[in-house]
Amino acid sequence: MKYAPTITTLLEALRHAGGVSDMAYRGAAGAASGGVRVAFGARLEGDRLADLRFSAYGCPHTIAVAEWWCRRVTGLPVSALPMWDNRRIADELGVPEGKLTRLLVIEDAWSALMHEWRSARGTE
Amino acid sequence: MFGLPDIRPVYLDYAATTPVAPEAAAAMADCLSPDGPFGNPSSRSHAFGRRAADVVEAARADVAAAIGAAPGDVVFCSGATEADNLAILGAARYRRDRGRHVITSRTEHKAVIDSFRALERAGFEVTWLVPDASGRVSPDQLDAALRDDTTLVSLMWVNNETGVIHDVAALGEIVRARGAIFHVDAAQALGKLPVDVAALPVDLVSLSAHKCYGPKGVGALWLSPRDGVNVEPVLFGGGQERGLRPGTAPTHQAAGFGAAARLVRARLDADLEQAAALGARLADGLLAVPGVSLNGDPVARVPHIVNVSVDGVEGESLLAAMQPVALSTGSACTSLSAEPSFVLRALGRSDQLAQSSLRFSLGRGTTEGDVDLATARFREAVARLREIAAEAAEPAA
Repeated sequence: MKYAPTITTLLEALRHAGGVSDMAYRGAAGAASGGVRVAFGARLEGDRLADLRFSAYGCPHTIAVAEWWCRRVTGLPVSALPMWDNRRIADELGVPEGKLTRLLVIEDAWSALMHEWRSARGTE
Repeated sequence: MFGLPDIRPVYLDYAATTPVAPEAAAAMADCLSPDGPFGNPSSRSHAFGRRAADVVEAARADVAAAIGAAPGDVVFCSGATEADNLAILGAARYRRDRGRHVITSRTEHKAVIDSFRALERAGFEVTWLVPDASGRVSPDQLDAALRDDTTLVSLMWVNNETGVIHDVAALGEIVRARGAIFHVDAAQALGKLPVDVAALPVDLVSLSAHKCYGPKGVGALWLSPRDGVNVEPVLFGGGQERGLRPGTAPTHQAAGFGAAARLVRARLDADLEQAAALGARLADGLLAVPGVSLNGDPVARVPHIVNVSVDGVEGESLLAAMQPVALSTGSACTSLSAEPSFVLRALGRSDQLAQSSLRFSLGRGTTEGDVDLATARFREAVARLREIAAEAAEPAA
């Protein structure tokens, strides 16, 4: 399969892969038996997302998008975190139509992580 | 990709296709030159046509010699897919007055499976044999499936995904004893093991040129001269190729196939020796990685194909991480759906293991250096992807 340059560039430097279990908050979704499983781990400093790490069993698009999301949101105030927009992410990164369900799993893992920290902080 | 070091490209996908041998390319170029045999091989009324016909007939003789057959029993067509269609649809229809039960296996090439599905839609009853975990249909299993109204059995000689070899002699004896026709898809067999159709109880054999260093776009069907072996044509429009494959014979394609077939005969021992040594080296290297298992029978397989499943690694990422080593994944579709290989699923592999499988296939151009480079990249790729996935592991149930 030919991958978009944005995807291959991300895959060359997976700066946020690993370290999930060292993070205070964690969320995961998917199943390896279904071909995709993603976990996120986050460290918050006050209202700021200080660090976001991921681990993924999945196709190159899955791994690249998880890395991209970590880069996109790390350092932002929690109140300013962007909404996950499957279609927009796919268009921006060159993820083919047939892979959109993989992005939904990443979104679910991200949602699980946010639920975890909101529950812990009593904001949900 | 995945931060792995750059390496030189290595081609280990010879089961998908082989490069055209220089001898075959030269034979084709001769045909395509302005003063070559450009005439229509069917135009025997003039010298131009007869010259082209001579080239086609010489090629037919070369292909026949490579499988121990008489030239007149070889029909050229566009490839093994067409040969499979002609054999299966043609034989079933030719013998439909004797019965409408036919037999094949779940691990055949798509060309065979889809031909049998077409027969099912046309009212034939198909028995789909499921091979054992080694990938083989046993003679007892076939014997139990045969009925008085069975007219056709089709089983491949060498499986294109796993390299597993069917015991064609034993299977064919059973088919013949029950009065059915035995078709064998030998697309992956020619050039990978000795093929002598005259010494075997087989009736129809499909061949492909591009799997044995010939050009794409040409293949052949061998029909046994035995009484009762015949097929109805599936294409119409001319009397060429015994009326079974109408259309002007492609002189240059036939010449290329003929030259490749000559090389198969001349080089078979050397090719097998090379493949045995390199295939064992490759399998040893791959299987030394923890969580890696061989798909298919460890003994009854050609050494050219080594198919492994890798635990804890996603198949498409593994294939991408192996770049620039050219391989095939175990997925039936390597693009978007990443559907697990139906062949490996039929052997009892889980969806996950079937999806995370790789087929390495070796050929004449493969060197020890290629094998070692591919093995090293495999070790690195598996380790890196397991590292990326490690913390996403699901909690134990």
